Amino acid sequence: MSEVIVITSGKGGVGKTTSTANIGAGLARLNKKVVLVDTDIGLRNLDVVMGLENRIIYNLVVVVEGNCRVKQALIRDRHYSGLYLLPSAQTRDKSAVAPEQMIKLADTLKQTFDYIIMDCPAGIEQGFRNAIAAADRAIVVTTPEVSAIRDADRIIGLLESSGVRKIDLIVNRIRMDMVNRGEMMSVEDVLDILSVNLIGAIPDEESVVIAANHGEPVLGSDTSAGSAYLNISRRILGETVPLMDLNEHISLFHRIAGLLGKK
Amino acid sequence: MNRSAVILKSNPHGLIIHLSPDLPFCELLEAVGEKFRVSAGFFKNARLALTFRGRTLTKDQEAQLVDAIVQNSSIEVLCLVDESKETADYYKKALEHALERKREDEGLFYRGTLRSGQTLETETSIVILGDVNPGAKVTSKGNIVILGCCMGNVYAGAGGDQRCFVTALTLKPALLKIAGRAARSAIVKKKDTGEYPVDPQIAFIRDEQLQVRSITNETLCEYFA
Repeated sequence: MSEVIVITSGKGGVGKTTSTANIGAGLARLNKKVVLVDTDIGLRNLDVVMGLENRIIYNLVVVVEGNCRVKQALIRDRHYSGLYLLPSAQTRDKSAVAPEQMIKLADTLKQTFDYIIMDCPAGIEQGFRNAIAAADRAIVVTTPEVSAIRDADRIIGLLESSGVRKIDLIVNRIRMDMVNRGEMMSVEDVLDILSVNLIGAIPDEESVVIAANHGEPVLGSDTSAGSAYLNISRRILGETVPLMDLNEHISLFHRIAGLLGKK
Repeated sequence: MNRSAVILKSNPHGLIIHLSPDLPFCELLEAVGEKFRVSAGFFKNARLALTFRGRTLTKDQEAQLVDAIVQNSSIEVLCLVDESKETADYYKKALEHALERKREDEGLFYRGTLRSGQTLETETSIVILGDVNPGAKVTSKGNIVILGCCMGNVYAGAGGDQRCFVTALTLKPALLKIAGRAARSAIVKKKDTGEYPVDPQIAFIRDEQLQVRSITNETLCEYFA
């Protein structure tokens, strides 16, 4: 039984696209057939993060308008054979697609794929409506900042009222040194405010940015962000994976600095 | 059955029921039941004030008629108005008075957290089993009880009732209003962790002023005074 997952956040720049690419890679690594759909029409960038920009011929709008077959528009990932991308259009805007068309598209994709992951644009307008139209479950990405949490709260409310029952949270860009100094909200604080199920926390690491710039998933590299994303993919499949201790990866120096700063 | 035995006329706040003076009471009772059975869909769950006109009724008969109406429709009869006083104004007052009384003994429960952008409006008191997050709004004509953290906008006594109160396990609203009086939480310089301690508080109006106190025996005595 295939599942449609929407990855959303409300606020922009918190890591929706990066999370989409890495979770997709993670599920593909765990031998699932996965398609990532970039629903950010007009601001396409999932293809760049995946390093597939120069292979795009057809796109989401062309498919939805019926001018090509779904199969023609799908691009296979360079690293994982079970991972595909359905890129968005760069020259159109969000109004080019309607929620009903997204539901129809998802139904078509369900015949071939185990997981259909929608990369949602920022905001709560048409683009958001399109992305969540067919969703069975949602993963909300937030960072430990008040602005991102406020938007995540609103998004969770909208998802609930749109009938998306299963909502999980990713807390992205955690900096344990700052948390230990009491200068950043911890994962627990974020959960306290949002009261939803946590599916993973990603540490703030340079490797994430570097990998995205190279058009490669951070997943699979020997970094804690990479293993955090793989853990999230496992949890999506229903495995129980304990949360990793983000403190483990902080150097002794930072830990002492953190303790001193606390006083 | 005689069609004109029962005639319904409405005004903005209630219903006048014209009863045939000649019909025997038991037949009349049946006619009233029939009338409301047919128009149940039209009235739905209306809350009304009623007047009987056209014949003199004993208290007992009145009660039987109201029973017939309530059983045959989902109308809630809030009060009966004497024929002599049935000006629209009086109706309005009687209805408001009855609603007011109802509001005091009625309450609703909301299970779950109210999130940014969500609003909850109630005619009666409301108990929320969850948090009211920043950007969420609760408006109630009665009291507001929040079994959780209140960080949004809350407005109790929206109908103007100064006796209404707001309580929460953690009361840090962006804006708190009771019967037109408003207050904001003091801006506490907190660390970025966004944590608030649990300290059950109650907000109410005393001496024309909005007061926010921790819930202790003394505060409650003061509130009840």
